[in-house]
Amino acid sequence: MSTDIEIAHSVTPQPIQEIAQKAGINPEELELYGKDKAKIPLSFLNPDKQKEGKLVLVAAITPTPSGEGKTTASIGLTDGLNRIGKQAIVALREPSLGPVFGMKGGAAGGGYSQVIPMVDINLHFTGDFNAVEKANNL
Amino acid sequence: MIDNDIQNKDSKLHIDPRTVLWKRVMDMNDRSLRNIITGLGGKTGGFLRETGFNITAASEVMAILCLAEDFEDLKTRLGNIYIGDTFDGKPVFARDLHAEGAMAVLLKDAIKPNLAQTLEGNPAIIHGGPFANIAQGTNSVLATKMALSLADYTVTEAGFGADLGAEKFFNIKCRSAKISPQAVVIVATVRALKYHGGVSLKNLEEENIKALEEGVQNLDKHLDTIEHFGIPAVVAINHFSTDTEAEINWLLDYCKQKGVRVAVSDGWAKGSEGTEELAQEVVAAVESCKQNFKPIYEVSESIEDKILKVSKAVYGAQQIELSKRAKSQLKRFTQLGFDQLPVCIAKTQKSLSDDDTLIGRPKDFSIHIREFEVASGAGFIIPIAGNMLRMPGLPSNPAANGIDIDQNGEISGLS
Repeated sequence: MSTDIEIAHSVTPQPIQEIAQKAGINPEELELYGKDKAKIPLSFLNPDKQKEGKLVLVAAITPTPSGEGKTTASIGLTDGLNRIGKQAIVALREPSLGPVFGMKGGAAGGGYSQVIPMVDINLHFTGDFNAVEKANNL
Repeated sequence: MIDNDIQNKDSKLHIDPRTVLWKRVMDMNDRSLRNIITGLGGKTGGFLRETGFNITAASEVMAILCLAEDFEDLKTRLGNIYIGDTFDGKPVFARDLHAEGAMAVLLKDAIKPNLAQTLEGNPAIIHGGPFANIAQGTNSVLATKMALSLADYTVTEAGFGADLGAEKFFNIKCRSAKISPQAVVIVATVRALKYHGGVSLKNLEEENIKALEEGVQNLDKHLDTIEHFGIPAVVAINHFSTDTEAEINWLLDYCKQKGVRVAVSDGWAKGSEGTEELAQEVVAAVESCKQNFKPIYEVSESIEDKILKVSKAVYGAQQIELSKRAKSQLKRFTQLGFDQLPVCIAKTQKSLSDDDTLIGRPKDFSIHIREFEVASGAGFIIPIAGNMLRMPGLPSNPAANGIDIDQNGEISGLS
């Protein structure tokens, strides 16, 4: 059986500009962080569209040591919605390095329901945690 | 800036170093930094002070970043951070140190949502990571609003069980951001329900319908909670290869008999092919949703009433008990005007109660509030029920032991 990282690496990420286009973002306005990561300018917030958008919250039963897989289910559901012709985006938290190197592991989903680039997302990603740390420690 | 102000003999603030609550943070598990003394080195090293480190995800700055609507709101919230008291017992806020502008500058890019993709090439917005016990435990408001601006359907998650993550999602995030979900998916697994039915971790792979019947009460409670909020629920049975057909069928039938939408979610093994049915159930639930969520409490109620309402409706508790310390803190917080904030109850994620050994659906219990903290910048009061570690330690055999990189830069062991 393949590990999560083997599955993640078996897929070549599409250029992030192409992903942006699927979400209706002009790739030229994207703030690129390498080939497969980017920041979305806040100018793409659209209050009218927000009211029409459907929001689905994924929660879980009381956690146990056996793991429930909320992130995996959220990613899977998003891919499933797109599969049945609904334009869907998944909105997730960024993993913390403590759990990644400690016990829980990363937070990029698992198996064939993962977000990529999985290694970067689990490590420094776009530096947000670093910025929070510096702002906190100022 | 706090220690610098204490060091500065011309400062007008007169911060009492013994009262400073603000801690430094870093993004790694390091238990030995939990409690430290700073200011060693004589006069030039500042004043000796007992303090500590939290993990970055537990920083109030993270909670603020994830609730901020724009730069103006970000600065206001950062300025409202309560850091300690003066020698006269007056509260000191970050704005008194004029820290909020520079803090916001450091967050100028961090405020923007990150774009990545799923393995199937669908857009994924990954942004912010606050804890789900002492903070709201869900991605940033701006990420959710960005996704809603760009897509017909936005799927988001809230940490831990629905008693912590979903409750805070509704009562804190949705209230603050004025958003409301049209469906809630409750992820359950046969293994976890058997665990709640009393099966030990090592025996979870054996078929055990009886344990499932017992443990399903935990799922029932979370479904009741979502009903309180008035939003339709869908149960997603996250499939594990060790689940037997009989167990899966029993759980499917159980949900159907209750009149709850349900589907097996098998994205782990099959990608979207394994989640098509779940997606259809979710669309049906969304289309059936006719209203915005109903909050469990109003912010204008007393702090005690807010805690009581969440404890009863969400945890299934009978009553709440406040320690002497908690009661005296409550008086001060009320004087400072913090009583009009929502509550972000910090309790164990392992049980619906505040006792992590009580699995399943515990009954006849009280929620014990040991003390309070306030995140006045983020905008909530944190009643603490139990021991909350804001700086975790590494386990005896950390995942780091199995993480490696080879000569070609190939990484292994991350999961």
